[in-house]
Amino acid sequence: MGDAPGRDPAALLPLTAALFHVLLSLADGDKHGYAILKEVESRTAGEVVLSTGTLYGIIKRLLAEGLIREVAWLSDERRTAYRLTAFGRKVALAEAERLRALVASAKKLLQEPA
Amino acid sequence: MSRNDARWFRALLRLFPSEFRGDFGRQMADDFRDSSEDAASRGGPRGTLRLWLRTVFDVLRRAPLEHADVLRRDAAHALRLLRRRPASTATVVASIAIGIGLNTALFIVVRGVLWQSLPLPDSDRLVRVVELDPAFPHRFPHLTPGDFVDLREQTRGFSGVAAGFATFQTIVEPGEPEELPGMMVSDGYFETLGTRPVLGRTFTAEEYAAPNIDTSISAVAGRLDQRAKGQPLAVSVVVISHHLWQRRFLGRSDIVGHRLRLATALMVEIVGVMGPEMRAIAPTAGVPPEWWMPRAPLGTARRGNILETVARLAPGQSLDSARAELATVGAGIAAAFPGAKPGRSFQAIPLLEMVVKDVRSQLMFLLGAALCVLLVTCLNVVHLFLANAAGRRVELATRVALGATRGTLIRQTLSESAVLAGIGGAAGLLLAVWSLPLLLSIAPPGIPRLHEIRVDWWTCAFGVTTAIAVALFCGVAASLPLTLLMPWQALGSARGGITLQGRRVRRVLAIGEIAVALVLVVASMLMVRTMRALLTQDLGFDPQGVIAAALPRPVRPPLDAAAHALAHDQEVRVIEAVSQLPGVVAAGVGGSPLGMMTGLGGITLPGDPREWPTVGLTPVSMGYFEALGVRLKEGRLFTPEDRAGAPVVAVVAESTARRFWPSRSAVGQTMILPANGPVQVVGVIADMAEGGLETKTGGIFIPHVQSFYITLPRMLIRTDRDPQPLVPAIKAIVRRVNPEHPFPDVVPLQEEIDRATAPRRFTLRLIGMFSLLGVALAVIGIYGVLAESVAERVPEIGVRIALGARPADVVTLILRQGIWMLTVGLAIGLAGAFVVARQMKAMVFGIGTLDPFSYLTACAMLAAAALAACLIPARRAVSLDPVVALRSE
Repeated sequence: MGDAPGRDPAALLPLTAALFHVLLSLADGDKHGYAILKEVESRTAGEVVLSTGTLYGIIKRLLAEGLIREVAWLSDERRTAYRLTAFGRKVALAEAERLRALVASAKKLLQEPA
Repeated sequence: MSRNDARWFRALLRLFPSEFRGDFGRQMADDFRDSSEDAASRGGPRGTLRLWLRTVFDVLRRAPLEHADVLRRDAAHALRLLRRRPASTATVVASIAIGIGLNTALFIVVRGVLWQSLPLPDSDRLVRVVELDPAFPHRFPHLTPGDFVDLREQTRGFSGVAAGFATFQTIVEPGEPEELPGMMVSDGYFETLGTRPVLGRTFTAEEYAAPNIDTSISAVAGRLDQRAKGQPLAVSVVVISHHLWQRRFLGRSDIVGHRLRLATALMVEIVGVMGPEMRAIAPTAGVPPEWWMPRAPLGTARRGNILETVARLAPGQSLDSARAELATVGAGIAAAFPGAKPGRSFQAIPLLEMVVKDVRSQLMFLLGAALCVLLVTCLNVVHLFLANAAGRRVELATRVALGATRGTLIRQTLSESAVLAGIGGAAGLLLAVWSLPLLLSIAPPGIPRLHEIRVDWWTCAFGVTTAIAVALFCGVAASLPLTLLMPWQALGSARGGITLQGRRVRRVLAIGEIAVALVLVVASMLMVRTMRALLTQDLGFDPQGVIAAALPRPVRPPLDAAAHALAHDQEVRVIEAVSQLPGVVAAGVGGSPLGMMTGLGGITLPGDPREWPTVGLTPVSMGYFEALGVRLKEGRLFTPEDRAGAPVVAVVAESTARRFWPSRSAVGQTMILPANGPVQVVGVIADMAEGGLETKTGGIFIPHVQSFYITLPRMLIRTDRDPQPLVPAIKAIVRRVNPEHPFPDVVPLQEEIDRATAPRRFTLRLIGMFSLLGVALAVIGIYGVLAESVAERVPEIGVRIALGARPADVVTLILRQGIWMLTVGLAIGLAGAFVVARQMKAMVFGIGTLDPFSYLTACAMLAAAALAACLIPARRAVSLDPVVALRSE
């Protein structure tokens, strides 16, 4: 599918936490599956630990939706790495924005004097 | 990571769908290797173990989801395909819905009636104890009082043995007089069944121990005299049925403690109300009891099989061990008390089996027929699938050429059939639930447990299972030709492999449909012929224009000869009054031929001390034979000269006459009846049909005025016009004689005959409908094959016509194929029908199960329908324009 400029990123929101973390882990460059697992684990300080089955369920969905695509891994031709597409980046940004707005409104609500 | 670990991980991955494995398997293995190296270096063996646990758990959780995803996509794809051809999809869904709906509806009935346990605690431990009479191996008489008492005392294999004696009582107060069936039960009856009353209590030991309620004429008369003198009536206790409580007493909660006055001059106090589950154990082929009273007539008599005996297997006892014990104990009893039936033995039969024994074969037969309809439906669905596949052959072949595996094609065919079966099955379930009340409303009254029939999760389970079976059958059968498909075949030629294989399979299908349809048609023809034989047979009487009405009983039962004469006089007055009504041709008192007769034992012939087995005896009045329209074979009927005090005379039925005097004319012979002494036979009449009209019964008739036997309380009235307007006048006459008599129901005799044939009519209606469906589907099937074949052979037919083939030649060319399929189908169907008909032995009457007329008509009807369908494509072939046809290549 690849990048689909006409699509509305908001249509895919909200993302599940695991899916969002996988997208984030690809933000700073291509990674193969194991690297994604490690990145997600370290980014969340061990809070989100993905197993391979779950990871590839997510990857399948991300590929089908065109948020990421497969690329060859530079150091090892045999391995497949994944790259965030431009649309994928938009979706991740939209999710981040959604979360920011949510946090802001929550804070405002909770800090208002009773 | 060790090699072993890698192998284990790959094995674990097999839980995922192959597609998923193909896409990500290698990456997953690589990632797992990295993870496990990392885990081992950081956490040692414990780290590895933790990783493994997490991975296994994860795979077990994810794999089903991935499979579901594949299914969802396949189903979505199938739905898209199906939506592209709405007409055929709708046809398929509708036919599956009808097939599954029929089967589910019948399943609900069969399960509710035959398979569901009786609604009593541990009901599979309940048995009915019956007598086996070597003279009538297929009857299961109740026990005689003496045998019951001995069996109860001597057997150890039962935790309870109890009996009920079915009889009637008339409630006269409060409310309208009403005669109700009920049971006098022995102690332990309710305990053996394991039921408790929903209100109040059952009977106490004292109540069971109290003397029997004397219903003899003298006792009743004595009680009536006491009442006339202003003395209070004796009081007994009664437990009523849930049904009676709701109907007559409107379910009022304070019913316990109420008293009812009975026509036998007795007060009964309602002490309890039983739950509705008691309806399940209605006496065989009888009406459910509405009341129970203590106690059953026990004693030492070895005559009169009146005690309906129920027993509960003791803990640890099996049916076989109980039967073995009954055989031993029974042999001892039979030897010690030869009684009327020296060779008798006893048997325990599961209660459920006894309750449903009369309807089992009929219901199973109908379920089998419904399955046949479903089979034809499935064959037809496969037809449509193959027709569609033929249309898509290039697409399919291209996909195979591009690397789609056979597995993928089969999976897609399966998912298509799954979607169809799913929608059809859901619709079928709705159809079944919706049509169930209709089915129950046309069900004959004799089917037990109909009120217990419920739609429950079993219904859903059956519907779902059937739908899955349909999906698998259709999917697999329709993908068979696909698996034989070679891409070059389909791509290389317009008449490629898929069409060839498909057509071959479709021919087999059409043949199969014809065969199954023929079985259905033969079965329904046999039923049609049976009904015809039943209804056109010589009944021995003429029911046209005859109505039957309950006769008023004398208020005071006849105790002595004078009272007897008075009672008869009352009967005569009623008959005379009724005879005066406009339109009445004849009226008389006696039993209805389809109703019960009083059996009389102890008859002897002069000079021969041997007692004859029980013979039906009916005291009848003047006008009875005329009202019934019996046929006199020999001698005379009764005349006014056969009055009380005159020499007692008798009219006997043909078969009885033959039995008593096999080599002589019965007229003029003498028989000795226990109460009357010598009786001279003056006439012989034709036997009359009884019960379900299948058997003819003999019998002895004597003038009621000369009889000491109670007249059967029924009056038969022959009219020469619509008898309905007479009903109020008849009721008024009856009421005038005895105001405490239950309001007489007046029914045309024809209605009783209809009731007697109702079970067969029900079977006939359903099987007739099934066979129509079967024929319709089979005809559609054979038409489809021929139509497609014509479409494919357009160029060839064009050439033939261009070369001068006459229309008749073209028609023959096309029909030959149809006739070939038809012939093979009919041959197979006939073989199947022979087998099925053997199972119908109990259902047919008047014809053999190999009745040639039924088979020939069935074949002819099916052949005519199929050939008519074949003519449509044949006509199309004839009307082809050769120029257009040749261009189409």
